Formats: sequence, structure tokens, C-alpha cells
Amino acid sequence: MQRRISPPSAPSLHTERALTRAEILRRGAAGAGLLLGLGPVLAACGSGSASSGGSGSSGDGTITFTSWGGTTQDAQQAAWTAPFATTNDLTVRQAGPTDYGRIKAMVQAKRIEWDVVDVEGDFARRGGSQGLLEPIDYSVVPKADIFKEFVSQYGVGDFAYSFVIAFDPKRKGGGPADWAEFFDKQRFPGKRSFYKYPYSGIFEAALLADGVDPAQLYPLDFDRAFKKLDTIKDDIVWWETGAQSQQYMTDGSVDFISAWNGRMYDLMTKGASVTIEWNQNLQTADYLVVPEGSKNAANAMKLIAYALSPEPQAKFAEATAFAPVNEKALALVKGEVVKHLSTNPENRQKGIVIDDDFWATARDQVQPKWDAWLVA
Amino acid sequence: MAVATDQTIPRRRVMLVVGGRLRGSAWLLAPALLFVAFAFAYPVATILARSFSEAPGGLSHYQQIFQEPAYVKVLMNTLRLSAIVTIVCLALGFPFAYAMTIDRLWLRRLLLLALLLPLWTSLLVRTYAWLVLLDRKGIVNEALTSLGLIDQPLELVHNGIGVTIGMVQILLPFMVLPLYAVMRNIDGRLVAAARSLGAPPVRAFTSVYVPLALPGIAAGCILVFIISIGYYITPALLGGAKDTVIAQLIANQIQSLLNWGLGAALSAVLLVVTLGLFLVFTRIVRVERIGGV
Repeated sequence: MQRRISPPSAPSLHTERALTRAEILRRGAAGAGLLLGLGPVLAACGSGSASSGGSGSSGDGTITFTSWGGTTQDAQQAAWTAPFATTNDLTVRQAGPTDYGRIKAMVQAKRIEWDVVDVEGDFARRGGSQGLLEPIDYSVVPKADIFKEFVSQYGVGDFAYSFVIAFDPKRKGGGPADWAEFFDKQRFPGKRSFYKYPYSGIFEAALLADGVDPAQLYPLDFDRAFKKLDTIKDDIVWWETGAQSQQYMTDGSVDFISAWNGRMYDLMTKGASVTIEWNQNLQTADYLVVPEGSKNAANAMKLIAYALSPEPQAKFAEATAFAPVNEKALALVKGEVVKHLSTNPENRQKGIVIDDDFWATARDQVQPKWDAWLVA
Repeated sequence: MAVATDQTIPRRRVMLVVGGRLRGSAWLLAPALLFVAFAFAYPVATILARSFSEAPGGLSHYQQIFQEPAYVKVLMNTLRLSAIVTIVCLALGFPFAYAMTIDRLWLRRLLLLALLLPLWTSLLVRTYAWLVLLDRKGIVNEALTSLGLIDQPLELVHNGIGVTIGMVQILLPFMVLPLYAVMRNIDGRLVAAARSLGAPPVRAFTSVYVPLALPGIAAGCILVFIISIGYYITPALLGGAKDTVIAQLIANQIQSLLNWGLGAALSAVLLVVTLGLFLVFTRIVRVERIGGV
């Protein structure tokens, strides 16, 4: 049993008397002042990282275009949405980054805030089968000129790209020339980086590294791929956003990376010491979709049609090295960047197309195995 | 003969219920309670309901969590990381808080500033700053290499070490401040009295000072532990895949896999674990002692 001894001369820390009214008023005023000062700060925090706050699509001529942010979205705005807005006298708002959870929440709450969304290939199919997307209106969008593998019921490709091998050309010992060398720890010791999702060409890369013939790749042998991945697992550092993949290369955090070619090209134009290996590039595309229930669906289809026409496609390609999905646009692209387009004949020949139809169903099956493997 | 506070006498509590009826002043709580109900209780209840209602429904998502070894591992990762962070925070925070009770105003102010200034900096900025410091080509490795102390860069991020360092730095104020609040009310003369009665310094410290500081220790530990188990950004940026914590799993399920039933179930598990731990600690240390009164 403890009793606190307080000697007579000890200054007491808590003077016990009631608060006078003056004190209450003073403290209350101070507190209110603090709250008022904090209010705007908290509101700013509350609006979060997404710039997509604000009222939903209202069918009044304001279309919301959502993409992944960074240099890619800036180029989409410059090449597609801004010219579209001026020629059609509409307003196009930028939002993002794309978040599949939000699309689902919007559709369920029937409050669609995004009209055109740039998504990955497997979501264009998954989202459609889950009832989250409007079917693309191909009477407005020119289907005939688009590469067939990028046309589907609920989404249409807007730019093509590849997962490529990239590294610093100045590093001692050079870099891998194909996926087998990428997985070779003896010849190429160091840190590797992959996109942290199963739908990233990582299984295709592992199987190709293990000696599977590209023509025999699908359906993917996941167990074999996991075994191959285990051989380099401790050296893998995962990237989750395009900007992060770029940061890893400029910071020197990793030695070799499997990244989106456009993001690596962007680093090269800015003078970073990065080179791209196109051998065995894994080809895929981003898709534009329209969430189900959007009040601006008609204008959204017009925007998609504009984005897919030859000149805007060429303009976007020149800025980003993300390739056109419109065959007619290829001829219009000028400059050094032509070498960096995933759909140019040379890169297409070296490349392997990721099978989106396979992934539409396989993703859910491999996801638990992927989660387990990641943390093991 | 007056005794300032005698802890054997039952303390006067602010009575909300007097003679079986709700006291008038209890209604002052109404606006705050309404806010909590609307902004917290209702959304949380909705999420918890989803864990049972989303297809395939029932307890299937909970079964999935406890049967898949990956999810159990993530839960263990989370608890282990939080325990380590709590212990390291205590080891660093106790001397820090003790130093703050030393009777030098300038020292106290300096230490308080050193503690609070990072607290007011954005969490994301601090986490990224650790990346800059600890990365392969980061400041720490470059410094050690140029001093000739190492030839291969040390692996300080993308693993458990990086996450622990980052989280300890971020959560240290939550350990130090409750500790300090309790420690500054401990009468230093008690330790002196113990010494004068013949106790060696260590004994005086462990049997007089530490028990008096125990409410602060418990408060700091609960706070740091509970915050750590829900942490997301720091483990996501500084950790590797092997250090995945439950918050990352929840975010992945809800945002990218759209598996809201599983995400909700994981959230429910986290909530239950948190509440359970809180109850356990309130049994060990009576809550009203946390204020140091």
C-alpha cells in the first residue's frame, strides 16, 4: 500500500479549486480558435490523395477522365482530353488514380463520379462480368482499325505497352538479354524488381526463363513458375506504382527491373542512365472503360472514339512511347520514339502477347496462391 | 496530518447515474456521442455486416482467414512487428521521458521539441525520408562505405529492420508522452527515502520508481501496440513482401481484388484483436490510474 508523502513545502502540481468563469471563457475561446485553425487543415487531409473529390457526373457536359496519374496521365490529357474538350465544347475533368474498389463502390451506390476510366486488361473483362461496366458502343468507337486483341465487349485498348527488362547500361557486368538471364543469380547478382501483381507478366517471364517455348506458354503452368520464382525470391524488391518503378531505377535501389516501357522511356528522355531490352518483351494494353450507370455515357463513348483515332494516338505515342492501338496511327508517329513502340513490327516480333482472356478467369484462381507465396 | 491523496479511499468519480436516474450533466455528452455514432459506429457496423453478407456469405470469409496459412502468417507478422516496436519504443522512450523530468527547463523544452517536431511532419514524408536514409545507395550506406567500414551496402530497407526503425521513430512520441505525464507526478523524494533506508540504487529504482511509473508504461505500451497493429503506410513502403501486415492485406482485398467480404472479415479480426488486447490491459492496470492522478 503506497501513500504519497507530500512535505509541507512541496509545491503542489494540481491546485484544487474550481475554474472561474473567466477562465472557462478564455479556454473556450482558445479551443474554438484552435479548432477553426485546424478545420481547414483537417479538411485538406480528409480530401486525401485523390484529386477526384467533388460532385459526381451530372450529365451536363462535364466528363471525368480517370487514369493512373503521373507522366502518363499528363500525356493523355495533352493528347486526348484537352483537344477533345475544345473541339466539342465540353469540359473534361482529370481524376485518379484508378481504383477498382472505388468503381465498385460507385456502381453499387449509383453515384458514378468517373465517366471514362483507364484500367488494366484483366479488369476490363473482370469488371464487365461483374456488371460494373457499360458495354462499349462500337457504333461510335471505330472498331475496325484497332488491333483485334485489344477489342472486347466492356473495354477497348487505348494504348499498348510491354513489360520490358531495364537496367543501368553503365553498371559493371552489363545486364540480362532475356528472361533466362534475368533469373540468373550467378551471372547477374543483385536486386530485381517486379510489379507486385500476378497480372504483370511475371509468370510468363518465369516460364520463359525456365525454358518454355513461347508458343506453349498458355495455359500457364503456375506451379512451375512459382518454383522458378523461388530461385530469386530473396532478391526481389516489389514496385506498386509506375512512379515507384522509376524511382527505384533513378535511386539505384535495384539493379534490374521488369517495368512498363513507357515509364522507362520517360526516364531516358530525362537523362537518366537507363536502357531497355526489348527481347522477350511481354505485350499488353491498357483499356478504357465506362462504369455502369454513368450519366455521361454518350459523351464518354465520343471521348473514347476520339482518343482512339489516328492523330491523337500518334500524339500520345510521341510523348510517352506507349504504342497506338490504332493500326493507322503507327505510320503517323515520328522521331526516335518509333523504336520504342511495343506495337512496331520489330518489337512485336520479339514480343509475346499476354493472353487477357486467359487471365480474365485465371486471376481469381491464382490470387490465393500468389498471396501465400508473397508472404511465405 | 493532511494527506494529499490517499489511494485507499475510493476515488470520487464523476457520477453519471445518481440514484438510478441519468444526471443532467450526462446529456452534455450527447453531441459527442452522436458524432461518434454517425462517423464511426455506423460505418464500422456496415463493414462488419458485409463480412457476413457478401457472397458466399455466412462464416466463409472467416474460415478462409483462419485456414489459409498466408493470412495466419500475416496476422502473426503484424502482432510480432507491433510487439517488437512496442518493446523498442519502451527501451528508448523510458530514458527519454525520465530525462524530461529533470529539473532543467531548457532541457525539457529541447527534448519536447525534438519529440514533437517530427510528430507534426507528414507521415508520408517521414516514411520516405527513411527510404532516402536507409536505401542501398542511401545516406547511411554511402557514409559507411566512404568511411571504409563496409564494402557491401547493408540491407536496411525492404525488410523487417527498415519497418521497425521507421515505426519506432514515428511512434516514439506516443510512448514518451504518457510516460512523461506519469513520471512528472512521481515524487523524487520517495527514491531518496528508499536510498536513505539502505536500498542500493538499482533496488530503489526497481521497487519504488518503476511501480509508480507502471501506469505510464502500460498506457504507452497499449497505445503504441494498438496503433502499430493497424499501421499501413510504413510497412508498405519500408517493408518487403515477407513483412506484409494485415492493413496491407485489407487494402489489397478491398481496393484491387474487390473481395469486400474478405476485406471486411479481416477488418473485423483486427478490430476484435485490438479490443481484446485493450480489455486485457485494463484488467492488469486500472484505467483510472493512467491519468497519473
